[in-house]
Amino acid sequence: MPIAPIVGKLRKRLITDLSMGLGLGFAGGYLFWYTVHKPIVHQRDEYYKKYDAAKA
Amino acid sequence: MLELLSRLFSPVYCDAPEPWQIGFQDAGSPIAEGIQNLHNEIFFYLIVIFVGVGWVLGSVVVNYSQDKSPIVYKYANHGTLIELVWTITPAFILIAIAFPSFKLLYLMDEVISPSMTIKVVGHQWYWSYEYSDFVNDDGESIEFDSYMLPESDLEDGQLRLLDVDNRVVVPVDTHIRFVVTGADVLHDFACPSLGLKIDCCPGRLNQTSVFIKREGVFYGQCSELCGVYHGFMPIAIEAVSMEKYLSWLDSQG
Ligand SMILES: [Cu+2]
Repeated sequence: MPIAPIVGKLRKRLITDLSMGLGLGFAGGYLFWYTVHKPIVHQRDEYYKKYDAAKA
Repeated sequence: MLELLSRLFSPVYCDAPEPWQIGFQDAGSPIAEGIQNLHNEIFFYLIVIFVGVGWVLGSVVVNYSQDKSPIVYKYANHGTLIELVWTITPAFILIAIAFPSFKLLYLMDEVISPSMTIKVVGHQWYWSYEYSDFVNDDGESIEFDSYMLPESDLEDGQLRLLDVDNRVVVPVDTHIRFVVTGADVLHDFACPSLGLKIDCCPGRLNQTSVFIKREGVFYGQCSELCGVYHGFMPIAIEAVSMEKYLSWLDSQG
């Protein structure tokens, strides 16, 4: 049984895999950054703004 | 139900661990803020790597399975270029993580002209504190032991295994230096919400400093296994305003 030549096994998927993997990865990373980290920092800054205002 | 809700969405700043907590306690010092920021910065990379590796792994399992790819491509066994790529890329990621980490580490090591010094000694199994900058009427420096409150003595609002009979009272907005040591075995003076954690080694002095940004009671526990009651020698640091601190000092005389 003849076998079709095996070509482009890596190249065929490499672009898709890298862009999907890293794309989704960075998307997830930024999702965490803006929905978890930033609100915590914002809440903290707001707290100290109020706190320092009350102290002064 | 209400209790569960109030535990999940606690309206008060509680500088102690909460039931089912998975995050950090609220930061009370610039160092603790730095630690939590660094953690989140590294967590960003962690998510990118986790998703990226997960995707590629899934892709390999799906697209290069026995059914879809019965014959192994001979160059799939070895490839210098791709090996270089997957060795050098992680190295750069590690460097990107290491630099902010070192910056924070050296910042924490710095003891910037402290206004007062507190000596902390770990014992089996309690802490003792000495305020050698202040003396009482007899000319002796202020000194006391701090034991955990047993469960039977707890009053409403006091925390089991965390509250103590004598808290370390310190002023806010002041650079405080802690000089720590152990009297018998290794202990570790720690307070998560202040970003404090320092070993107390017998025969050796360690120092660290803290600048507390707000009033409150900050709880920590001995963090170096020191014997059977290791879990029962908590640390309670009470940060108060300068006026309250001075009147507390007065009452110690
Ligand atoms: Cu200990």
